[in-house]
Amino acid sequence: MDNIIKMDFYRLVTSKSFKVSLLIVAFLSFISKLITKGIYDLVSSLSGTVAGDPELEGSIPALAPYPDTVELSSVLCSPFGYTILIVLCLIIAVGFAYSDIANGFIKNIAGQLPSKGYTVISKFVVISILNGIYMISALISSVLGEAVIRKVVIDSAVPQGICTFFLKYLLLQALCTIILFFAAGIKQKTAATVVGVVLGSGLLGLAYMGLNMLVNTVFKTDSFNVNEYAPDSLLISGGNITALNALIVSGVIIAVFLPLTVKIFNKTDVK
Amino acid sequence: MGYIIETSNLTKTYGSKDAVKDINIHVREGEIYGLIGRNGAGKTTIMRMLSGLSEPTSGDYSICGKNGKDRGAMMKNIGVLIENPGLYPNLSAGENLKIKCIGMGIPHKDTVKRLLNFVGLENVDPKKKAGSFSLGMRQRLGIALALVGNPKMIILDEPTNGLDPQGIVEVRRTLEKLRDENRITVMISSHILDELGKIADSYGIIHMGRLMDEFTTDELNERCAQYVLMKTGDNDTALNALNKIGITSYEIDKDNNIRINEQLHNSASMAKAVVESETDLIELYIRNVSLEDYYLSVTGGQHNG
Repeated sequence: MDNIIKMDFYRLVTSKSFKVSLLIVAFLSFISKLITKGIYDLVSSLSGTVAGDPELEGSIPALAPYPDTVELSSVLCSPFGYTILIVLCLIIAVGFAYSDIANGFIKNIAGQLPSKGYTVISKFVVISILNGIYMISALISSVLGEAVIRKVVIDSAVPQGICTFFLKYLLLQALCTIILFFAAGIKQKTAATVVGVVLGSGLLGLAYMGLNMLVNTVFKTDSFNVNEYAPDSLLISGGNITALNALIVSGVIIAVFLPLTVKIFNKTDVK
Repeated sequence: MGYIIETSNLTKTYGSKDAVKDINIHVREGEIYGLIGRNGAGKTTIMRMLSGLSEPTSGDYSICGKNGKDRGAMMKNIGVLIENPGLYPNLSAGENLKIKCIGMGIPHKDTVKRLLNFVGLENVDPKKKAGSFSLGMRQRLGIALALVGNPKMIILDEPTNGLDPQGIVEVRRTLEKLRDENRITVMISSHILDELGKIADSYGIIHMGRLMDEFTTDELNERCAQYVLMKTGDNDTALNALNKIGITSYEIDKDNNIRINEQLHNSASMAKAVVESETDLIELYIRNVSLEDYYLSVTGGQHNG
């Protein structure tokens, strides 16, 4: 088993897509902080112009100055500057999980293992390493980006931030397990890619809103919010998340989808 | 000599259709076993199951004497090349081999070099990507990949498909080297029965998902003894003359030729007797039944191979 993991890890780190995507994640995480500051300054200057215009004065409230400091805990809570980076992670996971199936290399090795399902578990492990590398890279780049424009303060909420960072890692891994099911389990690369884009970009937000309205109307309540249980919403959410929800949701998804993918992979022919 | 692979009523069903049914194959250690059959006969299905890439619907098979749950540990002894070689097109031959070496947990440096030498790819530019390889080079790299980990047996599905005559000869030599020098058992399917006939020690004929026959080369030779084929102007007159010199085992084939199955060393006397009977002796051949003839006779004459 460890040899298969080493093999998958080797083919991951030697692939161009991994190196390029890692650079993109690092660069976008870094630049996103500068862009955010730039946009804020632009809007501030516009609000100043508006303030000087007697006809429009007061229509756009003047913005407070961009904060001079940022807490490390808040960076830890949202390591990815843009949701597009989550999409990128999921798309890379699709490519990695499907590449040996697409080119048939898997035929060279799957039959020689005690169980074909080892290849699925190996991919799961390597994708978890991949996600860790992406998230740490995004975090370091974000901190560096913040450090360029303002002071990063190590605050008392850092332990909580680390906890949130870890929970988001678990949620990303849960989404990747769903991707693995589509790419390696039922061998549908297109479906896996679509699911990756939809989950990673938060496109289900509208559907969740509709579901919330439906459930709250039917059960005459206003407390139900599916976003607290949906892995994509929890992952995309900018701030602290309910730790128990995130743990249970990611745990259940991994516990259901990983064995299911292994079982399906063992049952179906390798072509 | 024991069987390295033995199947017991191996059956694979897709939906309601039996792809193969009740297959009982016996592959001896150290031999080249040729699996013959037309397209869709079930050869690849059998090879997939024996390679561990597909699960049988029913029946079982043993690898190195182990079957059922015990078989898993033996599967590392089986190298495979099923249909097209599975390669990373953006990696070189050496890198493709290195990846499999890592997966099998064996040192890659010497193994890669040895295998590239073995399949004749040692002089290929080490930076050349497998995606730009010719079909023959891809097939040879596929065989090299099957050999990673020193398997006791390799299963090759149509390894000569699409190769030019030179490529076919190279693959044949490689397989003979595997058997004769490395004592590796080879199971191979091929459409080119003539080529298969030159190297195989045993055969299995698959037709419409069934194993029609299984035999060794010696058994094939026994079953397919030589015969004399004679075309004459008047078969009755010729047969009377042949009877007079003691020829009684003969038959008339569909082309109205006389096929004589005895006294093959007496073909000169046969020719003389027919000529002296005053009928024309148009043609006389001494022939062997080829593997292809035998295959056609077993499968009822339908040959798409």
